[in-house]
This record gives sequence, structure tokens and C-alpha cells, in this order.
Amino acid sequence: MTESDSELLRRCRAEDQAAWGELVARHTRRVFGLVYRFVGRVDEAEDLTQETFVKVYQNLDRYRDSDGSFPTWLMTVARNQAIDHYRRRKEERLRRTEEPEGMDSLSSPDEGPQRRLEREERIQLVRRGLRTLPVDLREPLILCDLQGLPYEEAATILQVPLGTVKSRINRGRLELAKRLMRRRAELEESAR
Amino acid sequence: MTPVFFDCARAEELLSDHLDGTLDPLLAREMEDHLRSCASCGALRDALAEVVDALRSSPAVEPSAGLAARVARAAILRAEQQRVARLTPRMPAWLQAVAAGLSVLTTAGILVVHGGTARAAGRLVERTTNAGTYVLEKKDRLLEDFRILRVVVGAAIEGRIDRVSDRLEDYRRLLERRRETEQPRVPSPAPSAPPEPSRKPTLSNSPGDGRVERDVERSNR
Repeated sequence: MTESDSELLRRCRAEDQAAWGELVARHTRRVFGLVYRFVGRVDEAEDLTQETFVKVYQNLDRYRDSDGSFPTWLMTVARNQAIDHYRRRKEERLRRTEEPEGMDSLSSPDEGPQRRLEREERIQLVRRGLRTLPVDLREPLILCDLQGLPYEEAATILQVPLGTVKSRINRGRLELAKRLMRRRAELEESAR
Repeated sequence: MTPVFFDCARAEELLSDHLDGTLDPLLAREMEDHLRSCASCGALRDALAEVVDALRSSPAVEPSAGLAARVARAAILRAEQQRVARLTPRMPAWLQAVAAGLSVLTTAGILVVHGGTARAAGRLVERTTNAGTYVLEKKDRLLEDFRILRVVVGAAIEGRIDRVSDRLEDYRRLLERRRETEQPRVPSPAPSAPPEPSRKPTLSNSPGDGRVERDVERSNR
């Protein structure tokens, strides 16, 4: 039977390194997944994952159940790390436009080559657009649409009301949709 | 017919809720009506659906193998380093500032006491240069002193008092030998020379005048 996070945390506070190892192993993938969405690079995401857990380990005593569930608290720390990193690297990030790996895996075997190309182009455009959205619109999209977190959890992590999360998600999606439409119009125009 | 209050702005506001299926049934019906009658909102709804699909179909990227173990170790190591750093005594910033201030005041006081500021500053530079030259010339000897001191301290830590005494005796003999070899180089005052009752202490350019050297030897003793 697997131990609960609370039990592992209790052992971690007693400086049980095995418990700490298990807790980290349990949540590394989740933290990595989140910060990767922010930074778009595996090496930077791994560094940020490490910084997140370093911070968590240093603040284990400060975490209270009233802060929400441990995963939510952990994601809040990860999100803050990612935001700090983003601020430090803002200029560089705006210049970077290359896509992360994994585009091939998006293709569906049922799609024809033309449809597949269109879909990949759309995905690329949306992801690029996501990186240039204002951070307050980008964060909820990353948490909810990319990471699949419920809106309520995103609200806790972002420390904003649920309605604000919903509103920002809608605005972020609309902005990306309008950019997609503009891009299509440009392509149609140039094809004539 | 679409009710008047359900315009394009209202439709935009509710598009995500409509796509997520969380819209109130009444509003959802009105939204459908609006989308059927408004081509631009219909196109926007389609684009929005494509955006959501693109976001949700992003491939999951896996971290490298062993990241969790590396991360866990790093966190423990960092905490240990911080603990050690906290235990290491550190001079408080205010004390450092006071020490720096006192140092400046003392230097200024010396300059004032010794006469004209510019002249005194010149003398200070000269003395510092001489002391530096002296240290450079005598570095081998200083290194030798340092090595002996290290042996003495090491023996003391180990509690070997007999060895400490031996090393101190060796050092005393070494100092005597040094004095003997340097004796001829210290010029003795001529018998007829008048005494210098109130000569201010100065350092000549030559380290051979023995003043700094004597100070070092005095401190060695």
C-alpha cells in the first residue's frame, strides 16, 4: 500500500531521506510537465524542477494543510519558479521561436498528408502564440488546457478567484483564435 | 430570432464555457441561435475549438531518467550547505562597517598627527611600498616561519607538548642563526656621531636599515 503524501511529509520532516526520495519521485513528472510548458526546453525545465524541490525541501516545515493539498502547493511553488525564470529570460524567450520536439507524435494515422500538415502548422502557430501571450492569460491556459488541471486547482495555484481563471482562459483562447484566423486570411490572400 | 441582449460581445464572453459544455442550458440555446445567425462568431467558435484542440494535443515531454533521484539528492545537499553556512560564524555587517570606519579614522588621524596631509600621505605610500618590498624579499623566510608555525600548531592540537617544545627550540635557534648572518649588514652608528634624541621613525628605501626587519624579529620572539 502506498503511503499518503501527508505521511511521507511527516517522515521528511523527521529527516527521513528515503521518504523525501519517494515524495520527489512521486511528483517530479508533474512538476517537470508544468515548468516545461512555461520554458519549452527540457534542460531548463529540469533545472527548474530541481530548484522547485530545493525550495520545497527548505520550506517543508512551513507547509500546512490549510495551504491546500500538497500537489497544489507544490505546483504553486513550481509556477512561481517558472514565473521568476520567465522574467529573467523574457527577452531571450521572445526571440526564441523554435518548436520543442515531438511534433511527429501529433500526427494521427487517419489523417491524410494535407490535413496532417495543416494540423501541425496550426499547432505550431498556437504554441508560438501561447508564448507571446501576456503572462496572466498564458498561465491559466498552461495549467488547464496543457496540463489538464481543473479550474479550481488553477485558481488556488494562481491565487485568483475561479471566475478570474475562467475569464482569463476565455480571453487567452480568443486571442489565439483570432491570431489563427488572421494567419489563415493572410495565407489565403497570398495564395491568390 | 436571437434576443437583443445576446450580441457578439456576449457570445465571445461565453464561447469557452459553451465549448467546455458548462453553459447554462438556456444560455447554450441562445448561443447556438446566435452562432447560426452570425458568421463571424461561428468562425470564431471554430477557431477557438481548433485552439483548444491544439493546446490539449501537445505531446507530453518526459524528463530524463534519474531526474527524480538527482533532484532529491540536490535538495538535501543544498539544505546541508545552508545549514553549515548558518553555523559558520560571520562578522555582522554593522561590525564590519564599524571596523572599516575606525580604520579610515585611524589612518586620517595618523596623517594629521604626522603633519601636512599630502606629505604624510606620501610617507605612508613610501612605507607601504617599503614594507611590500621587504615582504617580497623575505618571502622565503616568511614561508619557512609559516611552516614551522604550522608544525607547532599541529603538534599542539595533537597534544604532543614535547614536540611543541622541540619545535620552538628549533625556531629559537633558527632566529639566532638569522640574526648572526644579518648582524654585519646593520650599520652601527659611528662613535662620534651625535645622538638622535627625537628622530621621527622613518623607513629608508633600503630594507637593510633593519627597522621593519627588527619589528618582524621582535614579533617573532
